[in-house]
Order: sequence, then C-alpha cells, then structure tokens
Amino acid sequence: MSSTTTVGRIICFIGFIFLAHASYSTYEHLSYLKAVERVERELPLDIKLETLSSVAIFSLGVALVAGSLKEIYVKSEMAKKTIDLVDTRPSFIIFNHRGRVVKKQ
Amino acid sequence: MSTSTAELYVPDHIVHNTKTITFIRSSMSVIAGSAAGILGLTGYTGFIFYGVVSLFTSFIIWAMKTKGQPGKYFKGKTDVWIDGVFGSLFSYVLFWTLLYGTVHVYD
Repeated sequence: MSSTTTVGRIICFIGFIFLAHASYSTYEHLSYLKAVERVERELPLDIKLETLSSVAIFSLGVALVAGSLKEIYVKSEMAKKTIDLVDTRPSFIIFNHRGRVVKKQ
Repeated sequence: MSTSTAELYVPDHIVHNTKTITFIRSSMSVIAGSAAGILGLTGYTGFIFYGVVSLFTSFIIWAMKTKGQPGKYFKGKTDVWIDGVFGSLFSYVLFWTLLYGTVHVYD
C-alpha cells in the first residue's frame, strides 16, 4: 500500500466523519423542531455546508485511493521498454554458444 | 483525418482504467446519495444534485487522474465525462432513500 493510498484513506475517513456528524446534526435539529412544535422548513446553513463539504472532501480522498491510470497506447508503453526487454523471447535464444565447451572443462 | 499511424491499444490498460473510474464513481454515488438524503432532497432536485455531483466527480477525474489529458487514457473523447454515470445512479437512489428515511422520516 503506497503512501498516496494511505493519505487518501485518511481524507476519506475525515469526509465520512463530517457526513456522519451532519446527519446527526440534522436529526437533532428535526427533533428540536418537533419538541417546540414548529414545522420543518429548511435546514440551517451550517449543516448544509458541512454535508456539501464532506462530499467534496470524500471525492478528493477517493480519487487518491483509486490509484493512477495507465496509458492505453502501445507506442507509449513501448517507449518505456529497453531493447533487451523486447528481445527476450524464444526466437532470440542461442543454444549453440561457448557455454557448452566451457562447462565441460 | 491523418493517415500517418494506426493506433494500437493495450487492452489490459483500458480495462484497468475503466475499473478505476467505476470505483471512483460508485464510491461517489454512495456518498452523494447519503448527502442528498441528509439534505432532505425530494423529487427532481435529488436528480439535479446527482448531475452536479457527477460533473464535479468528472472534473476531479479529469484533473487528478488524467492530468488534463483524457486522450491518453480513454479511447472515446467523452468517456471521462459519461462513463459509469448511469450505472451508479441506482446505488445513488438506494442511499438517498435510505438516509432520507433514517434521518427525516423515522424517529
């Protein structure tokens, strides 16, 4: 697990905590409105802001957790390889070399 | 149309990218659904909220994952904006109704 993933997980956790707190605040607010017998109209601004910011924080975290994308073009993939890596295949193996003689001695 | 080179793709990398994007979108739809439920959205406003959050998620993917060059990572030009949006809509509705019921309806 890379350090980016760890940081992303921590950010996700913070976002989740904010979301849980916002939901509990909403519940408390609604209970209070019911206790004083008023009708629910709109949520307070701070709860709304907390919910929206938790979504934003979580999106940043989850983007870090997800890991990096890979380039889909073969040419960009081949650019990273060395010529020795490309040549390592059965057609290029030589059996008839000096090793046979050297090992006998 | 340029006829200089035929483009070859690495299929494994296309699958890997689609998987990564689907992971981000489904996680975001869960959180966005919970937020919509907490905010007490009903009817069309909930779906509009989903559209806004999807656009925001697409922007995050565009900026943080593709670093402003989606052509390098996706075959289609609109894939980074549209891919997986409608698939995650159902989990959004699931969590939207769940949180709305838990916070607003039942005591």
